[in-house]
Amino acid sequence: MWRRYGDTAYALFVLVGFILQAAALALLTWSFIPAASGLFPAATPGRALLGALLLTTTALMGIVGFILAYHVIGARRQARREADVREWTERWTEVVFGAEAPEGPLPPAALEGLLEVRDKLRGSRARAIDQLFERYWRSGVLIRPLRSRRLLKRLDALERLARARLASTFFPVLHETDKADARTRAMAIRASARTLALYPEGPALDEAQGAFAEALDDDRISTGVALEALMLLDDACSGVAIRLFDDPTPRWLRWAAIEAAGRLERVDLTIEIASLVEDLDPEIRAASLRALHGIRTIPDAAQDTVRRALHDDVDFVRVQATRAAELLPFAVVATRLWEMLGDPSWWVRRTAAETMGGHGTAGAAMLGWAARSHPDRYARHMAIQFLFDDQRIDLGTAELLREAV
Amino acid sequence: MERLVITYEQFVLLYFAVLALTYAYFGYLGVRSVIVYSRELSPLALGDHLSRDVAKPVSILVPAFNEEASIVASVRALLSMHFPRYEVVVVNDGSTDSTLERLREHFALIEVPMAYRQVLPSLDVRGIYRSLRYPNLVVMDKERGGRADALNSAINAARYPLVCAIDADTLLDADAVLRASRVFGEDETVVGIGGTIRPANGAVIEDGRVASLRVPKRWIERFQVVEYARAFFVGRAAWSKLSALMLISGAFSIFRKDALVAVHGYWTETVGEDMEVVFRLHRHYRALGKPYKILFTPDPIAWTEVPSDMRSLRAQRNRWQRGMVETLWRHRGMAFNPRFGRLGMLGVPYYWVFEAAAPVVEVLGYAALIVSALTGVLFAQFAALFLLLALLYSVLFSQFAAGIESFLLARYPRARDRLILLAASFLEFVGYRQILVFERFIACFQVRRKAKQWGAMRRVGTPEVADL
Repeated sequence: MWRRYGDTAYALFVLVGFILQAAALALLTWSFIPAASGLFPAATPGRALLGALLLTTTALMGIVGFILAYHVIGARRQARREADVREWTERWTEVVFGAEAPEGPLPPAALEGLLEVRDKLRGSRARAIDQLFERYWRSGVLIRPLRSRRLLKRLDALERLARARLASTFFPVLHETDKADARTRAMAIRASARTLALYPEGPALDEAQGAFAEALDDDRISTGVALEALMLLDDACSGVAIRLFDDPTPRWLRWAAIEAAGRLERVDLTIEIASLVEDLDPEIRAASLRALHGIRTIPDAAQDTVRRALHDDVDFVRVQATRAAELLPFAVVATRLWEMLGDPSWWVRRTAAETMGGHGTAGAAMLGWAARSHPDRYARHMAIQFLFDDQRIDLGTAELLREAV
Repeated sequence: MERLVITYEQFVLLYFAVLALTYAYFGYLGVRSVIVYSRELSPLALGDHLSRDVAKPVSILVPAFNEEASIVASVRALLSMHFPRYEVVVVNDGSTDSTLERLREHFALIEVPMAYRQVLPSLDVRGIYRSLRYPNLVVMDKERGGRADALNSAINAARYPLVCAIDADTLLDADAVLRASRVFGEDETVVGIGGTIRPANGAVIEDGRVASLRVPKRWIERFQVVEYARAFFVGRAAWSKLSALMLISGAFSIFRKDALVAVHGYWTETVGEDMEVVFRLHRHYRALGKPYKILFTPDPIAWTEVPSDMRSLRAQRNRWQRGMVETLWRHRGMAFNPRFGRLGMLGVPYYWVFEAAAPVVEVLGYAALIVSALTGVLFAQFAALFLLLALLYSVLFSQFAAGIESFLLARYPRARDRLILLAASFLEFVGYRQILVFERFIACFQVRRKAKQWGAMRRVGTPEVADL
């Protein structure tokens, strides 16, 4: 973690140091070129060397002075600032719970304090904070730095906006996702997602969700960033994800939407996700099966689809289908799981054993039986290994069973 | 003879000018990249990343050879990291001390039959152990094959898509892996990341973490604090920014496992396997024509115990120099090869001229100084001023890096520490630097004779480690 004050000034010092050195070295090199002596007679090697020494000493003193001052003054300043922010955080908390609001204009620590409080509150209290932002800083003050040409200023502003999560700033922040700089885009996507997560209900929400889904559909955004942004939406994820399930959406983004819905356990999307289990793309099939497993629900109408997925040609889809089979009645999948213990893929065999293990006593009994009498040698080995890993048998029993196999 | 000496001195001057200017430019690039990075990876972003569990899972690979002094503390610290899904794979690489016994005892290990695909060749594994207390700890016991072979074994057993190779004595910041792995999620073209390594000597260690920093007591350690800051905050950051990073330190590196497997893992015939694998990754992806990135990020931070005696330090630098020469020689076709872009036209030639050849140039420079003094062609005043200039430049670059370190929350806190480090950056020029330059000079001629020889390092162990 870094201290984020004084660093741009330091960069300037280093730049000046670099320029001084370049000048010193140019002078020195110049002085060694015999042909140049006629053009600039004063630049004898000795004088040039003295000049270089002088310039370097100046640069060094500047840098050392900066570092020492930064340590002494910076530490004190930071302590004071932290105390101010703490004080304002307490004060804003009291305001949210009914105390009288202070008179403006307010110092920068007040904004920092309010951002601290904002990140911790939800619901009607959070809306009260929105009003405080509007009253003292109006969202324009937070948004204006986004127009700066300086990258650092824009990144700082995006972070503040991500913390403020003001509905009124949503579209200006979303606009930043179109910028050429990858860092700005990623931060803007995340800031928009955090804002959309707390967006007030109403017709504007639908528009905002549509715009966000559209912004995500950009090849310059990585799958990882899209997935994180969708996860940051929390409860608002459904409204965006459902727009991304359809076919025109690129595969990577559909995958991210399904994955996020699964991880956030969006029960309201179960039917839509189940409809993707027979998609043409194996990655999408696997993601939807994994999502259903994550949501822990398979709609009745989709049970046959999941059972059919247990016979999928692609091994990683079979792995996910086997995992999802944990949610189907054991009697319905037992025979297929038994067969899958002898699947050519190690991962399918392993998942079949785990799923059997997850089906309680009946599953465990079947595993024990498979360890002794499954017709496939690899299936027997896998059953033994799983029973041992799951601490259902000890090492001695596992060795005995293995010898018997 | 006289003409030869003067020509060489002029060459040294030019060499020095180019090098100094490059360093100064690198200093600026380093500062810039740190400043942007600190915004990009704010506590808010990191918290979101952690709470949403979107980080890719990581296998942490720990090759260990005779590490009884520090292995328990290291593994214990690794097992308490802030990261949602990871495993620790320790490889006991034929230790002759009680490394394995200490692990067995402290982590309640039991030998288990474990199946894995041997995708990379490695020497025989004698046994695999799992912990009864930590389900994410795996210990492999194998024949002695060296660090590269141990890492290849660990990659075979690793379950996760990212692998993080560290040294057995490396202490990681609690969220170091989280920070590094986040980059892989943000950019799918990233295949490898290196973090900053800082000396743990003198630090106060609590529960396997660096709790606070104190400047080490011995000057030899202080010099290395300055050297490490210079190498990482200035050198690596700049090369990364120029998309031509050629070295990710073996003490802390994270790679995509499929990328390492695609280049057949670490090369076991070198002592510079960390640098060599990065070169091969560059070649592999360039040959495929696929976009890829190998990056340095200034924070994650890993801490390592640096040598505290001159003998160990010389052995270490000798090995580093041999490793670098071996790697550069093996990949000599990359130099001035436009197919490798900036890497081939700038990075590799720079390493040849200003890293591999630097000790030769410097030692010959000292020799030329002596010869010119003996032959009476030495301008004593000029030579003294030139040496003073070289000293000031060296101190200035060290201070560029020390300045970047000041922005870290975990910095040497007292103004007195800063003054000691300032003094160290002056004093390293008097004796310390010359001894190491001479060692590296010798190493250039030992590449063949000492092939695959690591040289021993005496470990003292941090205070807490010693107590265990």
